[in-house]
Amino acid sequence: MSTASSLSIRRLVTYQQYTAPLIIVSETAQQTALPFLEAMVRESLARNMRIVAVCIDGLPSSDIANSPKTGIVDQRLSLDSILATNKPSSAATDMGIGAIDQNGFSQLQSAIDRGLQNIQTQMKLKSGNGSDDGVLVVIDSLDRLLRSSQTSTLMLVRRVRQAVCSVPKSRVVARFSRDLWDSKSWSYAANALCELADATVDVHPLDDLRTWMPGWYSDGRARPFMSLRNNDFRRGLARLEHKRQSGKISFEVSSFEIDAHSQLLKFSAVDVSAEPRLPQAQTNPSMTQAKGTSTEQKSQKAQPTQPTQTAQTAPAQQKDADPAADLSFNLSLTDKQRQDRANVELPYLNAQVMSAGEIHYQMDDEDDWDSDDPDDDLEI
Amino acid sequence: MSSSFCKRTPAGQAKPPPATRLNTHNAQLLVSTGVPSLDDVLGGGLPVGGVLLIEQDRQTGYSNTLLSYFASQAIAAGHKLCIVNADHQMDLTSMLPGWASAARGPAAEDSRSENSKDKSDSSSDAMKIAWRYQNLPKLGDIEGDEVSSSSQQIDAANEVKFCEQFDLSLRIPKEFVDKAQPIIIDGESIFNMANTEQYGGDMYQYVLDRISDIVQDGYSSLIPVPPNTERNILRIELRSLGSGFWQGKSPTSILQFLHRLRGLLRYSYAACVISFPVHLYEDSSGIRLPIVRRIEHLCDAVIELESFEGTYATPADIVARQIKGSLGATQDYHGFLHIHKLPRLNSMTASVGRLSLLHTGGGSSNNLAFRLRRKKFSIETYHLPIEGGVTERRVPASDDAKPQKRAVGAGAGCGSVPGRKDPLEF
Repeated sequence: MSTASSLSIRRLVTYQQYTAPLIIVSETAQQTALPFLEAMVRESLARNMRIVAVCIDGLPSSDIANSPKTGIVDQRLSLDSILATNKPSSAATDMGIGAIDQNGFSQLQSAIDRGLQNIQTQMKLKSGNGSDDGVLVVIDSLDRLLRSSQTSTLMLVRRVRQAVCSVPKSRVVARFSRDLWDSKSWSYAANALCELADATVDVHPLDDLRTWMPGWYSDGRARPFMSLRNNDFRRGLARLEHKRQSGKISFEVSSFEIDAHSQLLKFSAVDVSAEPRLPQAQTNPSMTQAKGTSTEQKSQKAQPTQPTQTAQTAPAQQKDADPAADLSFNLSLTDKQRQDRANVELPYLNAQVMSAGEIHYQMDDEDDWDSDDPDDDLEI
Repeated sequence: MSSSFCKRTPAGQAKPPPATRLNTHNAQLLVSTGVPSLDDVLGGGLPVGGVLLIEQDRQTGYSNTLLSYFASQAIAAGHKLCIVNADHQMDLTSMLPGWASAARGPAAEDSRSENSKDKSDSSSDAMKIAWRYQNLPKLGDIEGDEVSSSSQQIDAANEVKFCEQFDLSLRIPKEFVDKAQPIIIDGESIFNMANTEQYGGDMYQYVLDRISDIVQDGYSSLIPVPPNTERNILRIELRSLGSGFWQGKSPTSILQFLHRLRGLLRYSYAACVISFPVHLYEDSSGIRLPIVRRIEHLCDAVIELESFEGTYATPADIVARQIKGSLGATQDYHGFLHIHKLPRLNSMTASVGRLSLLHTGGGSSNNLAFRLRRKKFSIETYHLPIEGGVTERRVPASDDAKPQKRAVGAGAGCGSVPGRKDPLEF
């Protein structure tokens, strides 16, 4: 349905189409979003944008931090401040080490404003009569802020978004963990941020693709908390919720890969062709795209009971195609051939597949519907 | 219904406040919410002294549309308006839908001439054959037609219309908004004022004190006024109460706020509408937290707007939609309206059922949906589309979904367009 070029997330990240002043990127322990965030920053650097990096958890990678276009607002915890919080006050015990109080929030706000202003004056000096390139404000992690005070965090993010709106072609990107809280406060913080944001990107590990496919259900075993494919620093899945300025909301899932050489993001649509076969032989050709090879069909018949099989993922398909590789003749289909096969119109398929209640009559050769008045040939 | 509304003074009976109506079943004073179909759902209107809770839709702005209607109706009826919004700065002139007919204005003298014109129109429309049905409310009443408005007139002289007709594509002119002098408590001012010594960061307490001051300034029925002064109604709007921007002393501050608000309003000539972002209080599996139920108990009427577009879609849903294609049945409507609680002030049951054209009360199984058209927001019964799909009989939206389109030979069925297949053809 959506090819790689038409993915909204790709157009969003590469600044091709949408203006989204606030993008929230969320992550879990299973898949960090830091590489994704940095790839977005590199994408903006490649487009000659200025960066204001608000570092609350850690500094960005050296190539970003040392770039001349980056301004860093450093609000990281220092060892002294951690050691200083040994007073058993209720604030420290409730909110944990590194909690930020109201003064801290206003200091952070003014630091961000100053950083933005510095960048803007720099840009004006460079290009003279106003700047063409925008500013990207990256807030590395909202977790510590959310832990201190959710209201103040939301107000801070709202103010930064407003400040950024006044600069053309500019954006704020912020990262936070969506699995850090218990179920009540997580949904509150995540949903509240999502309300404020123009686009939300939830990053998932690659293994989650299996659970998104229609017909998947768990076999009862607990999923491992850590698996080898988790926290892949180059690949992952992204769920985008995009609220346009017209008010329309669109949802999209895609998989992304960070290119090893250019360190930029490449998006591709989630492969929906890998879905479980039904136990019967009936398949719907308008849904599947890769059902061509006869060896695949043979392997289907060899496994007659399918009810508990989970959806096949890409590695499973590769396993099935391996028997075909040993033959002396080529059984595989190219993409174009698969496409053409899927487009072939089977004669009575329309009547079979369409919902019950409709009558589809396909005209025979003898039928000749005459739309004229049937009484015309009466000779009265 | 508190008896202070109908106190008989020697000089004569006190007039009811402008743009209000009396509910005939339990003698309750009602004000309009601005949307005629919502008034119908609530049983004639919002009772004065009551609190309506609108559970907000996620991501879309339909509840804000309802609240803007409420504010516009306040200005049209000449009621005092107070809006509290912690989420945004409010710019009223760009938000409030304007009047549908340009000649109309709030409580204007020309309303009297309009009334007489309406009455003469209705007499010429009298039915000859089906005269028994003459006095029954017509379905068009929900839309607020000009002809049927005459039946709502209580007092012909100088009567302000109970519910004004609004047009979403227009805006109220600035001079009317300024003349009405609405009290707006918004944005960060709440946060800043609440962060003083006195409140200690409790925004709910600060807002309650402000509202209490406003109510006691002429809208409370506990404070006696000189006889024969006409009472006006205060309309309070609380937008996105309990959202991320609201901060209280404890997680249950909102409950204390609502309890005190209800106590305040019961003895006042005020009606309140609150919008509440309920999606923030659901956990990851969609189960609501218990505090939502307690909030619902503290309000008099609860409705929920569930928009089709904005509900959270898990990745599995998104992938399923890609395979199946978008739904056709929900194209006409924009979401469901769920009624969780109907208003009943000082009575055993809500007296809504018989009065409502949409048949909402009394355990009826009518599904309600709302639709936002270009000029109007309306609540209707949810009808499934006709068999075979409405869009298939019209020009299909996307042809690329059906690669196997064939041209029908000479185009046969009576409703078919030549060249397109008619699904009802046989």
